[in-house]
Amino acid sequence: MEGISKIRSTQLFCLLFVSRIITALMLMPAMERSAITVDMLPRVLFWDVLAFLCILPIFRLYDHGKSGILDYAQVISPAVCKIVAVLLTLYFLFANINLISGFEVFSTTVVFPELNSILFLILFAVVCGYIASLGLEAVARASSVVAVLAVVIVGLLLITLIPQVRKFNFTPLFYDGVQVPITAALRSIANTTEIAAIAVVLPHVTGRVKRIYAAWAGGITVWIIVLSFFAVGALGAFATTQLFPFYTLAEIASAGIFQRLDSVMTSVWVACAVIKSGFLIYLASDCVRRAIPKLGKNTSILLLSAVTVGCAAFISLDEQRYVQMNNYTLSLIIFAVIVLVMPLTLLLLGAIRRRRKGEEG
Amino acid sequence: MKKLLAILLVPLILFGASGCADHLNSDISNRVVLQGIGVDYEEGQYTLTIQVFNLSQASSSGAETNKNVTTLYTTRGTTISQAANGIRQFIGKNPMYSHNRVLVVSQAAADTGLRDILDYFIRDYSTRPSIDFAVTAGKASEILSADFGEATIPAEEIANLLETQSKKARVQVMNIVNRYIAPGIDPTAPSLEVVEGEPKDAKGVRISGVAIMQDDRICGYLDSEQAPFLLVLDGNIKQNEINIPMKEFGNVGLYIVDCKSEKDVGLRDGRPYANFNLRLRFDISELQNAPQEMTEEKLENIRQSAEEYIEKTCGQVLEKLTRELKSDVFGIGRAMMMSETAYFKSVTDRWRKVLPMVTTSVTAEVQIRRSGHESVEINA
Repeated sequence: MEGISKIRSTQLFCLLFVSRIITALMLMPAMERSAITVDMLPRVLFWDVLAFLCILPIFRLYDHGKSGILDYAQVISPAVCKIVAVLLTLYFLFANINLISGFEVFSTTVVFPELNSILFLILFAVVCGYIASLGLEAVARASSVVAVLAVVIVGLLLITLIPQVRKFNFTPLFYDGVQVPITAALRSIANTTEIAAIAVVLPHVTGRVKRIYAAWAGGITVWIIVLSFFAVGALGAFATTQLFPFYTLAEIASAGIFQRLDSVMTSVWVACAVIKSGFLIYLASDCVRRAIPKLGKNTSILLLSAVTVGCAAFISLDEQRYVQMNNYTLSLIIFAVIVLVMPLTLLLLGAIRRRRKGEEG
Repeated sequence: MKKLLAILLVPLILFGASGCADHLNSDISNRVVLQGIGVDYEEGQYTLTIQVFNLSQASSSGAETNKNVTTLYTTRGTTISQAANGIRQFIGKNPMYSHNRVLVVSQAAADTGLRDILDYFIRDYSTRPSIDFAVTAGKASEILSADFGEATIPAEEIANLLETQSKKARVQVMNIVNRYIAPGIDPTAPSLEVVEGEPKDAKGVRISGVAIMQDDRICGYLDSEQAPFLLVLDGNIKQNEINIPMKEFGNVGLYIVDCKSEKDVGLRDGRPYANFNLRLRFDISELQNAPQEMTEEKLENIRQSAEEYIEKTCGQVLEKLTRELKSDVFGIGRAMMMSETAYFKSVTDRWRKVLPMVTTSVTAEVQIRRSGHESVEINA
């Protein structure tokens, strides 16, 4: 990571917020039965608890000299740092491919099926690669603008849906049992790339990072509760028939003579997706240069973007490949390895190393 | 270098990733703008009557016109998508569904199952789930071919008719789908019929009542006399008129200012009950035998008569819906899901059989807000 690149904690908040917004908006009931029900409330609260437990090892690493996961691994040994860097590169690359594939599914299913997928993927990857090449500060600044726009636009859109909320669309909490929101929360945490991102960018954030994490988790919780309230209240069981129910919310929204506000929603989605993808490419580039120091920044971004396009193009040929990519068990294992096993292993190695140094001293 | 790349990217994205990329589909003159769709079913095939906005008729001289600017096409297919695709055989252009205002389905088509018909309208990316929905006991093609006395866009007249009846009771495609998917509630839809000679020397359409459904199939109708009371029970009626027959005043016209309905649903001695508590506010719009002197006693008389009449008529409508048609249009099952969750879970699969056994009652509380503009002496 560039030694001089610093962002404020509020900018980190916006980056993480935008990143999570697009994940929430692209929720697909086809992949999770409990997606659009009243159980979104306990689900997001379970997610809060799980995310908090997952961030603890990251903050423990940070407490040791305000270091990120890569810096901490470097102190243990350069070889360990390279292993961690490679794993994180693959993780961020995988997340980016997932994001762009999902966005391509969205674009070609509900927006513009006649769209040339390959051209779209190439253009999208080029734009995101360009954004990543501008550096962390530029991405963070852009995210500040996008975050405000997203909240205002989506907020206004939801206000227009108030007359369409119906009491009978709401069901009792835990109607299908407690297991359903717990499983959904686990799936949600498995898609939370932000925790690994925090582990990498922490050393370059000024201000109170732990407080910002709490604000981010709280903000996302409120966001998802509000979105879910309107999705459940206005769409009801109809939401389960839709591939992207939050997009359908925008389709039915109207304000006076203005109908079908989905184009407004799409602009928010595109902006958030571009910021998140740029951020992920940046992180992957930074990690891969820790593993291969001779690799230049632009070269690494170009290679990562090319791999992303290639993989996403392959996935775009069949919708089922995207579903398989988001396999519940696979996602959970990958997340657990990157966010829990790796930091805990590093903490253990660090503790062993400190004890040995203490014994030698 | 980066700036140059950024400058080059802008036109590339503008023309590569936007709607302008596909001239054939983006230019409006290359698209068929649908305004209304009627679905009939004959001889094993769906017949679509499609009302299309005729661009050349609308803007031939560049001046505004008040003539009908639509054209009707009839297409057939074994599926809705096949029938809809048939429009290309007539015009050779791709249909644009985003401006479609209304979907009218005939009884014959609805008997095949609304689930099959509506699947195309909720699955296709270009159709809107928020278009107005109505049914007709006759043919949907006749509804779509009504000209409303040279209305510019007849489908717009039908959509306005459906909207002004009651904004809250307006039925859209997604409402129908929501109600037949969700357990414990059934859909309803306005029922339309053609009226010859209204407007004069033309063919119009009016709302003849409400179609009642069990899941996605029509099981009966409420006529135009009973339909307002369904809306009263649902608390979904405003700015409408009800006539109360009274011995003293003849027919009393009451204008509904406000209507609220609360359901009290639960179990009593193991048996389900549903009590509807109605609160209505009226203005007196007409008294056929208006008294010379309107006393408080007379006003109270009108108020009580209105209460009794609403309780009786709403009770009859409720009985017809729950016992005769076995349709849960008021969501008694949904309310039971909230108040008696364990009980509803145990009867969800057989709720249709349990519904007629629900003990129902209607209690109305009426308030007369105004007695009208006619000047009579009111003695307290």
